[in-house]
Amino acid sequence: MPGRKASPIITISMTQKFIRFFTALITTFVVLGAFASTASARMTYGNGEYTNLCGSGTSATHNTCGGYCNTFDGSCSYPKASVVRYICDGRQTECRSNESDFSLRQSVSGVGCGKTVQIDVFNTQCRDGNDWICDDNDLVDYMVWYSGDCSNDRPNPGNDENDQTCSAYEPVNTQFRKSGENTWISGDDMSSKNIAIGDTVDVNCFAKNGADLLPGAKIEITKPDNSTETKHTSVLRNYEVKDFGSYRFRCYSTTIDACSNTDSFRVRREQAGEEHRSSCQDLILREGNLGTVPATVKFEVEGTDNLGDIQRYRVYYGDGTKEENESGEFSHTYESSGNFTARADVKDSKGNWISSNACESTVSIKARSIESHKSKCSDLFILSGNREESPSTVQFKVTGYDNKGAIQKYKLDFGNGVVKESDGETFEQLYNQPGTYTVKGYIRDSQGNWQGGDGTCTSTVYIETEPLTKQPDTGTPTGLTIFGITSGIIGTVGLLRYRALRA
Amino acid sequence: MKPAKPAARYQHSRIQWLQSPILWLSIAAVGLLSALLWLLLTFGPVVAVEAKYQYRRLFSTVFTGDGSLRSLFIPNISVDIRGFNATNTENGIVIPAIYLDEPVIYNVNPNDSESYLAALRQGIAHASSTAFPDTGGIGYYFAHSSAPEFRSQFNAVFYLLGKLEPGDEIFIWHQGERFEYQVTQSVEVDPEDTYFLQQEYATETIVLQTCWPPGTTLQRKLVFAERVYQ
Repeated sequence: MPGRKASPIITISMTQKFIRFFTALITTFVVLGAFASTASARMTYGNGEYTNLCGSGTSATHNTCGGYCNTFDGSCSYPKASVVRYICDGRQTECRSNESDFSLRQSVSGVGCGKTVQIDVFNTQCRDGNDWICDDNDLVDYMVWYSGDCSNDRPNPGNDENDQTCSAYEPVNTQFRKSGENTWISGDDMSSKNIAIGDTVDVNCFAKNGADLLPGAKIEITKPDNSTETKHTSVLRNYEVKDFGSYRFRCYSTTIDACSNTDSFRVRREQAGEEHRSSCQDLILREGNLGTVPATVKFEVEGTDNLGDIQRYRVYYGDGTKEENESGEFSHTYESSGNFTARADVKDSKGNWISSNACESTVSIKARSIESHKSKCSDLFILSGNREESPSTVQFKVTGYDNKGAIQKYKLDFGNGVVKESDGETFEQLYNQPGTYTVKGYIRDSQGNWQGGDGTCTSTVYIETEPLTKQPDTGTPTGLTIFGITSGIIGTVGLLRYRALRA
Repeated sequence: MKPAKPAARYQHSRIQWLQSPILWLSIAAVGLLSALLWLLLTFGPVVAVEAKYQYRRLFSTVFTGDGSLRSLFIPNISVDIRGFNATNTENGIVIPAIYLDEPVIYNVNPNDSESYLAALRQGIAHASSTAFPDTGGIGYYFAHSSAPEFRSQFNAVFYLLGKLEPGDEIFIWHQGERFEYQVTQSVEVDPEDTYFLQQEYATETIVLQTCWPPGTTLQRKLVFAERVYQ
């Protein structure tokens, strides 16, 4: 990111600007200080708390200034590289030490304990060489955050919770980190943290998107052997991981009735060399198959994941519609008779959609005595080879239905100039060049009409190129510009000299 | 009289040589011609694009009827290229705010300078392995802000990107279908900064890229735009 390093050498005029700027700032703080001091320190991020939000103390509503600071994730962003961060020791309400480079985004994270971080957002780059060129009119947003005492104690929440209903504290949010690390995560799988036996972890039990600790919080820990342990705290520190397997932390309140909106997540330590294995196991037709149109069919999808839970399930019903949910149980009404190829996939614990031929079933719906002809290309599936480096062989499957007979042929336009026809549903194509290819599938129905080539029967194949490490050069080489300017200077000097000699 | 020492003679002849008007005239001619050539090649297209932009802007302001008395006498001529009368409706891009209406060459390898420079002679390049319109993900389009080749308008086709503001419309045609986007932000980054290609975007997004400032390859200007669903 662009940005000029601040220099300790400051000119007199710049110092005067600074003094005026700070005077204005401090005045703002003094005027609003009384108001701020009466408010409880409730704005928090991570393990710390905000001590000043845009001059109006911790009682400020989120983003009341320019809207460029996000107190939920502790960062400020601006379209220009004009965001700067300062770090001071101790708990402060303002801070002007250790100025960072100006950049597009700055975050309060990664400073360690016992530090105050101030992030200022200006509407322009304030450093012109060594000079400071901004004044308070250029300051569009800022926030000051204290990272917390090094004793790991977290400031208590405010005691003005009059509203003791669950809805006043939603959403409850469980935060987690490996002890000693600065970054907190929530609602996530910790597998990537490589937690080993003997490591310790920290857990926070927040409400209101991290703006408050959950009153009366308990943290219930479910260990790999399914035994549970409950801690009567909202801030669990240095909890030791003693066994292999999955740990689950659940955050809930004992003082607020019916507050069931809790988050939970896993802490996992993978066995050395253990690979992630996930698959779609089965697509079961529970009931309604072989019914008469319109027929409602119930499906159940089964999937496995050795490192976590299946996040979502998705079913393509074979008539051009699809649906996804978290339970894996589906119900769908078919409005046409015929044979439909239903296929399912699952989203594993790492967020990948996985499918297999085991998750495919044929749904047969019987016709009524009178029914018009209906046929359609239902789906185009990419079975393998997508998003791989070239050359890559990609496998496809085209499905469709026809209520008056069998599908005669299948056709695939691979998007690279190759079109193939086949009696079968599956196709294979080798892509030699990296690129993005739009693939279109077609079926020829019992009456000889080609259907498809749009909607659910199109898909995009990405054949990867090597990762882009530098954006393309789309301008005049800077060296040529330097050469041009230098030539002009030399030419001018030559001309002047020539005239002088002639004279 | 003693003859001059060889070193002194050499010094004397060198000074004489430097005093030659022909030498300085030659230096002046070569230097100024080189500079002129550079100016013509690099900034000729830029000036042409800027002049065309200012002219069309003025034209659209003056000749758009506003209900005033003047519009009774002056014919209402609107220079609205909101994508409805674009010329590249198979594969193209239209940005009304900067009067841009140019073809797009899809699937250009951004790692291969030979292939992308060839594509940039014909229009705006879409980087291979990035998303096509209507497929989600991020689509990456790039073109010249200035190029050292005096060939066509494509030498400076993205020079005007700096004038785009959040909210400006962008229309992209892909295989005859039109897709609408709206500018969300514009940033300048280092050439090696490719973070935006690895990010996930909740809404389908395109990025228009060119070198910045014009006449250099020092930085990259990125204009982000999000899909607008009708």
